[in-house]
Amino acid sequence: MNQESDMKGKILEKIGHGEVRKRSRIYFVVQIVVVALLFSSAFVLSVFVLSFAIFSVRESGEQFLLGFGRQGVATFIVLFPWAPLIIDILLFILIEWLSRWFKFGYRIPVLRALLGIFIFAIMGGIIVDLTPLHESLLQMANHNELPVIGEWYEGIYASHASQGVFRGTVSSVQGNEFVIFHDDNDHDADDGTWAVVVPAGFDMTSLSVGERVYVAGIAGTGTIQAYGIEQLSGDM
Amino acid sequence: MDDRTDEELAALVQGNNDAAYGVLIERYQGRLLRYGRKFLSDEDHIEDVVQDVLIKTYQNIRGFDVKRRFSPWIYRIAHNEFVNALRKKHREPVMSVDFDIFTDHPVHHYDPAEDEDRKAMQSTIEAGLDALTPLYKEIIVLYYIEELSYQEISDVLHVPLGTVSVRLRRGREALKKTIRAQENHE
Repeated sequence: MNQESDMKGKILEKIGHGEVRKRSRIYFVVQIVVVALLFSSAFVLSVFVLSFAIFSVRESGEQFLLGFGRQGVATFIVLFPWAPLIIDILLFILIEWLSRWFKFGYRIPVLRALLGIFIFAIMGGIIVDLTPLHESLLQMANHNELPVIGEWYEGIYASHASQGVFRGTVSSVQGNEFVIFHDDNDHDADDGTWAVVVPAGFDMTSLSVGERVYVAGIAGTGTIQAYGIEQLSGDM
Repeated sequence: MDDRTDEELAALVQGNNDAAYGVLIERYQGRLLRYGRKFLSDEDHIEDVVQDVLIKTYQNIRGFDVKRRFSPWIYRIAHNEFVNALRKKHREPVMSVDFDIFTDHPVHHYDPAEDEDRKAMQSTIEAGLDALTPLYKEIIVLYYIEELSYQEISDVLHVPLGTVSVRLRRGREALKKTIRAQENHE
């Protein structure tokens, strides 16, 4: 009991002498506001990054690879914008960690919380992708007016000739072949004309000169043995 | 003896009634020392940590919501301080990766027979507690000795309710096993 009174006495003495002071209410309000801001900023950033990944796959035409069979899927995996996805996974972990400040955060098992964050982020990403945000940022990047993330946008149209992926304009159609003019603005060896041998069953009548196409195949000398072809819409 | 609740006293301390904090110290000092003994063995060190807990509690008292129970809040501070003290002592992570918080566990539903169980367990706990790992020891102490509810334990440890439930069940089984082994030995 003496020991206990001693401790009480010591603490009250420190309080009395002003060595120990109560933190003001503002301190706690600021603390919670800062955590809430970090939490929301991380979430907004994760939605932005995820929507960029969706936009990038769509805008580059890489989503077509998923319809090109096993080889297409393998190429899709190689070309997928993994950097944004890895950044997003790290952001999800940060969001989950920040949520542990709040009761709703620590009362949910980690895996369920991560899944919830992912679902909300992907829903947000799809919604953002429907807006013209990324189109505008892409335009800015094309005019070298987008700092920091400009390279991400410029990378959307990067050449993937080494993986057998080409985008070009049809210049002639003949038999089971057509010729495309490929120019990805990097003035390298893959620029120029390529004769594309279409895969079996491809409907040549659907192709016309001047049309833009997305071609995946095995590139030889001046020819591409295609395993997948997709006609691009006007704005791609 | 002051018959005001902990929360009423905390509200007074949040104003400028420091004498009310003296009453809270009297109420919690012994309980915190007992709680600390489940983590640390060095009595002097435990007292230092408890003193730190009581000082931190005072410093942060304005962050306490008086509409909620005071005891889980002060045990949360104590939990953090004791875990830090253990970490410093062992110079290694005390509770490394806690896989129990990753997945869902069914939450144990309240059974009135549980109070009986709690009383019966309280008398035998001391005998087997030292054989438990800190993970189970702490939850057993919070539930059986400090008599916190599942929700309050969840707030102290910052783990899901299902984790409280599964960890308590495992701790209880380990404790019973230890006690049985001790009885057979005798």
